[in-house]
Amino acid sequence: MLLSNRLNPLLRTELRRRFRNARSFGALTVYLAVVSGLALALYLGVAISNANGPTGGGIESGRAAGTSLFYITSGLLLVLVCFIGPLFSVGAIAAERENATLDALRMTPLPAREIVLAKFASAYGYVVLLTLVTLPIFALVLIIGGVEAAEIAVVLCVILCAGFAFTALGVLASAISKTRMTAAILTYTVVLLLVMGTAIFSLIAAPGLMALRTALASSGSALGVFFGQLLLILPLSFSPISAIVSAETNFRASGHMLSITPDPLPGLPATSAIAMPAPFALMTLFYLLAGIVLLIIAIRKVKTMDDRR
Amino acid sequence: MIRVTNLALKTNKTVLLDGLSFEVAAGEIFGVIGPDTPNKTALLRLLASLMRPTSGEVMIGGVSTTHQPEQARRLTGYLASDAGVYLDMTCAEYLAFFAECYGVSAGARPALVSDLLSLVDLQKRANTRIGALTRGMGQRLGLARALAHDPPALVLDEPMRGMDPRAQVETRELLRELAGMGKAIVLTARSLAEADGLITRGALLARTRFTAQGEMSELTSAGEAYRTILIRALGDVERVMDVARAAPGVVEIWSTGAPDAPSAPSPQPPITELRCRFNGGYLQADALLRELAHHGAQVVAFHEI
Repeated sequence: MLLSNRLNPLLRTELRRRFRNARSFGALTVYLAVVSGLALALYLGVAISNANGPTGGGIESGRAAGTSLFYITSGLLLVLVCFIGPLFSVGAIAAERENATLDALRMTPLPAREIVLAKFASAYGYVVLLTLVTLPIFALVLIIGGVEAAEIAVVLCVILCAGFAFTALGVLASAISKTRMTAAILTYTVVLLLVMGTAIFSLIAAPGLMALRTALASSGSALGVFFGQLLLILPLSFSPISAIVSAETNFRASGHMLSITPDPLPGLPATSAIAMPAPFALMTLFYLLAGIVLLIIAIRKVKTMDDRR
Repeated sequence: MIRVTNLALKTNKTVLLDGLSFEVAAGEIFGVIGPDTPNKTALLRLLASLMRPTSGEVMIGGVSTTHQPEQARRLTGYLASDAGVYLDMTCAEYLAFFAECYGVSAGARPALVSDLLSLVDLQKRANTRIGALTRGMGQRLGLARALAHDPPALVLDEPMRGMDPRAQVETRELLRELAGMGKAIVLTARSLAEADGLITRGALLARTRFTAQGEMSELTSAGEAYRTILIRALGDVERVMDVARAAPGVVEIWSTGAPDAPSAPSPQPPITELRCRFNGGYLQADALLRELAHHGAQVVAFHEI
């Protein structure tokens, strides 16, 4: 528990140290300036095109601008979260070890759980702040049109869960590595594999998985249909990129957000396609569970730390 | 207060400590004296319950560091050779943070911080960023942090490392004062001269074992025969060798050349590495170092290997 009888002093100190650092506010300001600049550019583009073009296209072009702004902001936020969460957490324990402050901390009555959770919370707090400051841009998107509130909710959910897991991954890497550099290499390799690797795998493996789905569905059993579809959906559920893209594609095609129903297979009855949970739902569940497990392992590692060098 | 029984520590490949036993009563200062090796630090980390021994036992105030490490840590103040400070905090913030970690109430913290800063003579630096302090000041701040929860046992790894002579004198005085308050103190030192006049009892740690244990007089007479001392000197190496040859205890001295040959010409005089076969105790080795300094030799490194 971060809060027992009192607020964890390490968490308070970590937050104070993080937010009085000019770099934290500098990064936020630059990010907001870029996103706001893009929003302004898109708005001006639409305004100019409406002023010069035929009348009646205003609403449609406004929607297109809203959709573009939504996609650009979501992409930018996702990239930042994938980068910033681990950046702040890879030093959590490794930096304390490098600066010889870890021993001083371990000598205090603070349990390993509080040390790890305070480090995690201060890094994840910045990810949440980054997401919160983007809300006005998403509100602007809603006003302009072209995007539903549910789409924004899904993107925020995916990004916050990805940030949660990647920050926890950074904390664990930091607990098992002797230096920040090793922890950073380890964390960013896994993040890159999850974000890009699984998305690329989904694209490459799609024809093979589709053939497998057809073979399983041809057996006629409900389980065959289910596992055939699961094989298609699972690879999309490991990367936040493919989770968001599949959620958007599905929503725009079918109007459904939480479930996805693949097209029926040619030559097979309509029962060869059943509704499945959307990849983003599986992804958020998987990332939340993974983040919790990673934190538990990090706590155990710090608790039993016994540097025999 | 501190009881160490047959303590041993082995890693996968190396034996770091082997069969160490000693006791430190309340009010005593026990010095572990030896060259700058990981063995000494490992012993102190074991005492601070930051490591678990392979065999043997450390008891702090009757609490086993192996079986009840959390309770043992509450009874111990530990200072590593690197003080372990947050460079972006001020001295007062740093101490207040650790006081809070030790459960000192918000109301009592300012007075405690002020007392601790006064104790280590840093009261004028309360609002100075730690990054701006000298290494010696950082070490004193670390010592104040180790005292934040008023522990009955103190484990200090080279507490005077990096301090200027005045700070060293004041710290020695402070340590004697703390011992006078009934604290059991274990500290490490690289030479007997460093520990002379400070420790009540001590032990000479040669690699994994104690070669002598007792009061200062017993330690000074327990010099190990034929040790090898590494000397890295700048400039006129022949002169350094002549001075060393004339010093008592030196059996043989030879040059092993430059440790790191510079890739480009440097305006600095070259460093030469010398090895000295030496038959004498720590005090004689100290005397050799002083002799070299007296004759103007610029010694970069001087330690037993």
